[in-house]
Order: sequence, then C-alpha cells, then structure tokens
Amino acid sequence: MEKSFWFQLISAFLVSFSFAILTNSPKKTLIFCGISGMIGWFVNIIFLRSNFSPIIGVFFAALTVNIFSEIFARLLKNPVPIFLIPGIIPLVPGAGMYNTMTALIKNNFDTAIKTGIQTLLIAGSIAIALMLVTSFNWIFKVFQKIKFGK
Amino acid sequence: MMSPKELIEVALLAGEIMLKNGAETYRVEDTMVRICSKGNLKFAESFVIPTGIVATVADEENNFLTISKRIKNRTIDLNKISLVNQFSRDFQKHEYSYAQSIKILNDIQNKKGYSNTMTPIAAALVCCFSTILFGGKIVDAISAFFVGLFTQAILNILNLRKLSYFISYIIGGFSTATLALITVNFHLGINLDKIIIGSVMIMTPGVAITNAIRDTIAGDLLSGVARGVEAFLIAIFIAAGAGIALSILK
Repeated sequence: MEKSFWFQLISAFLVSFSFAILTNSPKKTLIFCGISGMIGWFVNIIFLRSNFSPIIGVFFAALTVNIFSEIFARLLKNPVPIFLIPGIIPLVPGAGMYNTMTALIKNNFDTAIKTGIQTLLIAGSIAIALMLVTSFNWIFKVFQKIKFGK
Repeated sequence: MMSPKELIEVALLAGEIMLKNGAETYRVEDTMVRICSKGNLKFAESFVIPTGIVATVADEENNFLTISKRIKNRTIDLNKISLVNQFSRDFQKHEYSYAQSIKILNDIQNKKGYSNTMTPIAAALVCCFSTILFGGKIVDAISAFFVGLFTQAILNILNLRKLSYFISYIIGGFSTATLALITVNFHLGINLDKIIIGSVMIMTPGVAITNAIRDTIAGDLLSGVARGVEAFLIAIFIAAGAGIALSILK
C-alpha cells in the first residue's frame, strides 16, 4: 500500500513534468511543474482514501495546485498558467469521458447520462477551484495597489 | 523616445506572439497597454479576442492610430509567452530603440521549442504514467508508452500539414484507440480501457481549460466562452475519434 502511494506520487510528478515539455515550458520551470502536479495528486489521494467523493477530492486538489502555482509564479517570475496547466492535467476526468463514450457506443444511455454528469461535475469543480483562488489573488492585488500605489 | 506608430507596432508584434502561443487575452491586453505606456501617449487601448487583436493609440494632438491583426493559426508554446512577458518588463525599465525591440521580439518568435524527437518521448512518458495513475498495471503502462510515442509522432506530422484542429484531434483519438487495440491483441497490454484513458491525456485541452477560466474571471466573457467551447469541442472530438475506432474495429 505504502509502496504504491509513493509510486503514484512519482508518476504524477512525471506526468506533469512531461506535459510541461509538450507545452514548451521554459527549462528551469519544468521541475516546479512536476512538483505542482505531484502536490495536486497527493491531495486528491488523501481525500479519496478518506472516503470523500471524487468531486470533493478534485476540488481541493485543484485549489492546492492553483495556490502553489501562484507561489511558484512569484518565485520564478513566470506567468501562473505555466505551472497551473501541467499541474491540473492528472486531475482531468479522462476516465469519466472514456466511460461516457463507451456507454454511448453500447447504446447504454442510463450509464452514459450518469457518468457524463459526474464527469461534467468534476470538470466544473476544477473550474470553481481555479476561479476561487484566482479571484482572491486579484482582490489581494487590488488592495496591494491601494496600499503602495500613492 | 519612439513615435506612436513605432510603439504600436512593437506592441502589436508582442501581442501577436503571445496570442499565437496560447496566452490569456487579458494578459495580451495588459502587455500591449504596458508597452504603449512608455511613450507620450494620451490614450492607449487594446481589444483582444482569441482570434484577433485591435489596438488604438492617440498622441497629444489627438491623432488617432488604429491597427488590427487577425490570428489564424494558433499553437502552444508557453516559453515564448514567458519571454515576451519578461521583454515587456525590461521595455519599461530600459530605453530600447525601435530596431532593438523589433529584433528582440523577432528572435523570440523564431525560437525553437523542444525538438521533434523530444516531444514524442515526453508524450510517451505522459501516457505511460497517467495509465498508472488511472489504475493500470505495469504492462499496460508499457504499451501506453508505445501508443503515446506513435500518436504524438502522428500529431507532429499533422501539425506540419496545418490541418484544421478538429481533424487532427479526431485522427489523434482514432489512432490512440487503434494502437491500443493492436497492443492488446498482441497480448502486450491487459486493460484496453486503462491504456486508452492514459493515452488520450496528451491531447487534453489543458491550455484551453485554464485560459477559459482565467479569462472569464478577468471579465473577458467573450474570450472565456470561446475558449470554453474550444475545450469542450476538443474533448468531444477525441472521444469521437476513439469511439469510431472502437466501434469499427472491436
């Protein structure tokens, strides 16, 4: 059990690291892209093992990924999406999409609707998590400007 | 000091590079206005959507100058966005001449990304380890490695031909499912579904999803909706491609 836990974290790291190469991220950011993917997957596993629904797990994972991307972006002076895009890749509901598609091929509409809606909800929870962090960050920025602006 | 005409040309080139390579529209607008703020302008405004740029500047004597640019094909190269971002900050600090800044931007535009042999290997690693994340066995991961290697090679060739993006995603989904079926038939992999789920990860519209969300929060509703639809359609095309392959060949 413990062994597969570490194995999964390393896999998540390598998925995000390699995806960053596919999006042509700058060389010095690649390691941090991998770390942001690993942190997201770690949070996701913790929530899944505590018997939360996958929607909640993905929500908090995306939230953590975004917070760390904002931190990395400031540390390395690079735009936030460079760390955010590879970080959320392991969380994208690929399995849900596939199951919906195969159910549709087999004319199994009940299953297709059930898995389809669950997939949409997971995708939506990623969106809401990113919205929360980004808008908080922008509110914070506005306050900073008022404080130090004049 | 640059003239308004030169300034807007530099801003347009910077914006074009960013938008072509997958930046959010608010970031492009900010960068263009930031570059224009360097001169003695009375007014500078830019309007950017994922398919085009319009920018207007006015000097002290109210001479307006508008320039627009249609963006037809887009790729993803986050390194260039980071470099242009850095350039716009340097541009504010230092006194660049017109020729200097155009040269810097052209150098950024011509910069090569990771090589064509590197991307299939990276794609293969993505497929291999996402298969493990989705619960595949080691043998599944190994076959996903080869599926990803070949799919990315096919996608690279399709990108060179400048096909419309939905055809390349359908072909990508189709070849993924076909290759996965081949590996399972030769008893290289065990779980067909795990291999396919892991292998389609290289085509996931991560850039479109994040940009759609960030644009929407920034208030660019038009760009946000456009990119959201793009992400949704890409997902459907991949699923359609894989679905066609599975229903024909299985």
